[in-house]
Amino acid sequence: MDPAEFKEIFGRIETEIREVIVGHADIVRKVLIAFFAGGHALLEGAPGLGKTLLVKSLSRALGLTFKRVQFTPDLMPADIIGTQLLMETDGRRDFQFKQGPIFAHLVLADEINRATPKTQSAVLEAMEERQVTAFGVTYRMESPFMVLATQNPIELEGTYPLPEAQLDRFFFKLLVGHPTPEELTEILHRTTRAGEPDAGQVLAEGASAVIARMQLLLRQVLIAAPLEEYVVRLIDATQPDGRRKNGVPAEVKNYIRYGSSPRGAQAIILGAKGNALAEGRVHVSHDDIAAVVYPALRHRLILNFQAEAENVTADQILKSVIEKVPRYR
Amino acid sequence: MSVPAGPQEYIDLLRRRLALHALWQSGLVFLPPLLAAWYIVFFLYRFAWLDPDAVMISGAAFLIAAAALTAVRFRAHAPSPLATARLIDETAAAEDRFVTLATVEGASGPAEFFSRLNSEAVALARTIDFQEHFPFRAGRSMVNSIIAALTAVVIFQLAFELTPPLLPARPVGKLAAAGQKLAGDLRFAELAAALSAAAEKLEGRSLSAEEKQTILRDILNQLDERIAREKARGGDISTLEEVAAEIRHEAKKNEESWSVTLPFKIPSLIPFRIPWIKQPDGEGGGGGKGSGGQGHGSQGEGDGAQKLEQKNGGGSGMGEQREGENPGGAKMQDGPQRAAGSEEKQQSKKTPDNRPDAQSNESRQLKDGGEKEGRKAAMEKKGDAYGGEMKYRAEAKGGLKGDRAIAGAKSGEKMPARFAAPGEKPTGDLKDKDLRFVIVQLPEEESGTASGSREEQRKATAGALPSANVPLARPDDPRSAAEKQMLPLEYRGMIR
Repeated sequence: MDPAEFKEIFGRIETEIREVIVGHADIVRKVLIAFFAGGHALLEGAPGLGKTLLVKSLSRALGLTFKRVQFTPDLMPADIIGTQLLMETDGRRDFQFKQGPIFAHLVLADEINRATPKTQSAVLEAMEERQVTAFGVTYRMESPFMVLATQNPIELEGTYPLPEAQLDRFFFKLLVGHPTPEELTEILHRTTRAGEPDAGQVLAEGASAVIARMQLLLRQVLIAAPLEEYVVRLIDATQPDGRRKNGVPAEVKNYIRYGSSPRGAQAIILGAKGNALAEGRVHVSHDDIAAVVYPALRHRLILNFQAEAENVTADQILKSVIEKVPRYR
Repeated sequence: MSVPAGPQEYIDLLRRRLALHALWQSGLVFLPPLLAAWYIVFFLYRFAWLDPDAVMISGAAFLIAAAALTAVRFRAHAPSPLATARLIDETAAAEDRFVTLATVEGASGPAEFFSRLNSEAVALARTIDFQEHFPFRAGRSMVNSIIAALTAVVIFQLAFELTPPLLPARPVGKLAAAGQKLAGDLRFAELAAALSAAAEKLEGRSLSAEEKQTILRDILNQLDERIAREKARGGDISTLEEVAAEIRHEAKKNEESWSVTLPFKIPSLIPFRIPWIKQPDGEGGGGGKGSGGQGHGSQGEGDGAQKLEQKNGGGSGMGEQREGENPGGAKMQDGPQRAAGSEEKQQSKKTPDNRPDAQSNESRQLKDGGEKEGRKAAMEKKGDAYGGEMKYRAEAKGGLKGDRAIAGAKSGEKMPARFAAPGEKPTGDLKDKDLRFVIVQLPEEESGTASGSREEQRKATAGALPSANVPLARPDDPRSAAEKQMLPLEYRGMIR
């Protein structure tokens, strides 16, 4: 696989998804970047913005298996991971592990914040370790594996906000915004007429192998040492008790309880590499980093009570951090 | 210029160019302060505030400091490969391609990635024209440096001109110390006073090199004369010889620095005269002196004359005659002596052949030597440095005129048939007025305590004054008379 081929496949998938999803071009690209970087994505947005449709279109375009789990308060971990069933085979009865919906290439955890923490944590091991342990037996997940979770930011009644440890496992957190009037018009045209559009399948047979090569290629993208240092400085700047020479930005000191973990830096670098390949480049530039800083870090900043009281968002803090951290030392 | 083959060559080429720019900029930033510092050093050197050694050392130190600062600044501003790559990236919109190529090692990625990145970078770099995109620019710091250097020079000049009392005069320690040493011996009290007075005069900032050398020469002459006299008497001359050696050494040491003149004239920055500030001599100015020096001199001499007048109860026509018509020669004496000298110069100038008058004036002047000596000592004890200073200036610049006037008078005159022997009274064909050269010995006690009116002194010393018209031999001639008159310095040029 060479970079040109990567770009071509990436572009075709993107195009197919955008045949279904109107607008949200940036969301589509970020989801694809997260996928080829081997990460998981958390989509946050109001109901009816096409989150579920996006994931379904992605799975169709990639030609991968897709499972959807609607998270509810009474959802149990076994409902996700799977359970043992008493099965009778040739007159013999024994327990067999029945795989849950987590065993798919693409898993949509719809409204993940409605399930209890116990159930939410059931997907933790699968997301990070890419394996599931049930009844003392460990099952490997198929590759590629990606969890796309959605959550509704407005209906907080009866919800269980994701714990920080679980949030940190998501590669990107993407905010799905409302469509523009033009986009809404296009949505109406596409969805209120006969013959709803559907994403075409880009990768058919051997999709997993192609995707694996693409994922490998992404990690080979060149990145200059000064750019890596810039990412490190960005992460360091989000620490309220930071050891930065130039001091911690006031916003970080005032509104952040915990800064980004090292996973944030990993997400930025890999996301930037994916963005570079998607742009047809074999090296990371500062623009690539800037493109992925917000989705990579916004869910990794743990805001304090004052920030919530003053309605300060992580994006606002990140903006000031990016402004204050120089690109070159 | 050959076209670079690869991105790394572009980076190296631009880096060398920018390094050269940084070196020039660093050098030019520190050049104006260096020149300003050198200017100040040479200024101080010109006015003999600094020894040649100090000038060499400080000049070299400034040069080394400037070179070191240039090197430090160059190191700080010399572009690194990374900074150069960044510049190319920004100029060619290369999206960090050059930074990546400059920092990523070949082993850290696929070879095809590097070859692709290289070709992309070279294609973008071809749009760059180094001459156009990276020209040499004079930085703001260079302009600031020039402004700061000029300001420093101007402030120095103004401080020098406006606040001379704040600036330390160069001590002439050896001379003063020698004076103190001799003052311990009553025999040399007069010589000690002369040494102290000379030391004070040498501290004057506006004295030229010639004037300073003249002062030192005269002091040495006095010492040599005194040594010869003491040797003839069989007295102890060890102290005198020691002092003479010290002063000779000091004179030799300073001769080089005093003899140096700047190739340009240092102009005064103040376009008007400030009455309380001593102006430096205007070299080559009209009337034998610059106008500033003349103005100051008249003030100083006026003071001196006033003191003499109060003491002696006599003396008239001071200053006016000098200022009026013959500024070159008239500055040679103080008080009544100066008036007499002025008349003499005027007469010799107007009627060169009218020798009797001139001779009578001269002989009168010389006969009054004891009185003048006493007056001079008294004046110097009063510390009238300005008056003394101007006398020496007058001798240096106006003395030549006086010599020429006398020489001119002599050339048209009949020489006497014979010379009178020492102590012989002029009789027959030898007249008093024909005596041109005299050897006068004043009793020590009288010259040391010269006071009272001129007539009283003349009466007291007339009987003891041997006279002769034998031409004076040079002081270093062994045939020269052992006893010589201690003449005021201002007469030297005239008598020679």
